[in-house]
Amino acid sequence: MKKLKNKGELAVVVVCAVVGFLLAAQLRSVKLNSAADATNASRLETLQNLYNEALDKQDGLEQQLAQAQHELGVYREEAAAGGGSAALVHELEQLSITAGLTDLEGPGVAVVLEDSSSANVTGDEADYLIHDSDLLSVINELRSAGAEAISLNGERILATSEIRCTGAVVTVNGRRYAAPYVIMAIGDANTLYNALTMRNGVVDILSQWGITVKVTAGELLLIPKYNGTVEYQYARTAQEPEERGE
Amino acid sequence: MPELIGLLVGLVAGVLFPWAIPSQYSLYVAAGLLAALDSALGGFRARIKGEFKLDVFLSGTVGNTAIAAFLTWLGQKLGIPLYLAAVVVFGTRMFQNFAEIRRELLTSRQKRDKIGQDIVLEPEDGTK
Repeated sequence: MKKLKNKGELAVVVVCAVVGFLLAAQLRSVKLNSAADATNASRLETLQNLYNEALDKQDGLEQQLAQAQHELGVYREEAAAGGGSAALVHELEQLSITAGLTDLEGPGVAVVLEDSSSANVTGDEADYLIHDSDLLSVINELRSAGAEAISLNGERILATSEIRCTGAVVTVNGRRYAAPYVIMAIGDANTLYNALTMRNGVVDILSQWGITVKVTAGELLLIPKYNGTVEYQYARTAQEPEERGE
Repeated sequence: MPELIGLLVGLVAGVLFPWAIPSQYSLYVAAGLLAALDSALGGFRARIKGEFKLDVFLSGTVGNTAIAAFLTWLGQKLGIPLYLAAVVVFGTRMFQNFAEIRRELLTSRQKRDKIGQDIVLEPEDGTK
């Protein structure tokens, strides 16, 4: 009887020891895990620093680009002054406008689009936000009405420019922009204005969703030049047919 | 008293244990810990009340721990925090066990005294 009782006591003691062991181990592991969280936090800080460095580097590169473009302008002027024909200079000017190499000014319209402020009745938040497709339809309408140069939030829209939904924002020329969106177009102000505001036109349809669209005609709009570089890696000028045939 | 010594030994062993428990097993250890704590308190209570049975105690300890670990595992598979069931049950039982231990310890002297009185009283009866 006595022996049995000792056995029982031993069992309880052993279980108590197990409890103590688990308790200590668990405490240590919890402490270790919170230390790991702290490590993650410091890692976040490191990444933030790296990000800031990358941003600085990007700024530096943009400056470099501006300088290079400035030099290019100087060379062009020199070339024009140095006996280049007037036709050549004119063509160069036309092409720089097309390529977005120069700031442009002229009459046109400014379109301001803001997300809908009306009450949400369909339950789908996305119906009331401006999408890339809305911006594209406005720009398409402007182009169709003969706009010569277009910018979106100060970003020049070129033939190669993308307007793409990236989450809550829209990426244009690799940069992200959020609402409100300001689209400027240089062209015949009246034509552009009428093209946008005609019945069942773009503005009409967008307004049905409560999206605020303000179109104003302006005498003098400034459209900045394209801030990046255009490189052609795959496309090259096609050869003459007879040369290709040989 | 030996229980406290066992607890201390376990604590020291846990602190000196060379490996840390990986974080993904942390939940299992917690559930097992609760089960073991419940068993230890239950065993202590049973010994104080004098109704301790070794086989009941051991089967309870092993079984409860196993079920607690199983519930944790199942909960992780199902996406339901089933280990909460173990937490609630063991937590409640711990309070009950503690209450019984407390009552037993507090009233044991009175009982002893009463038993003593009865024993003292009996010969008096006999003499009469």
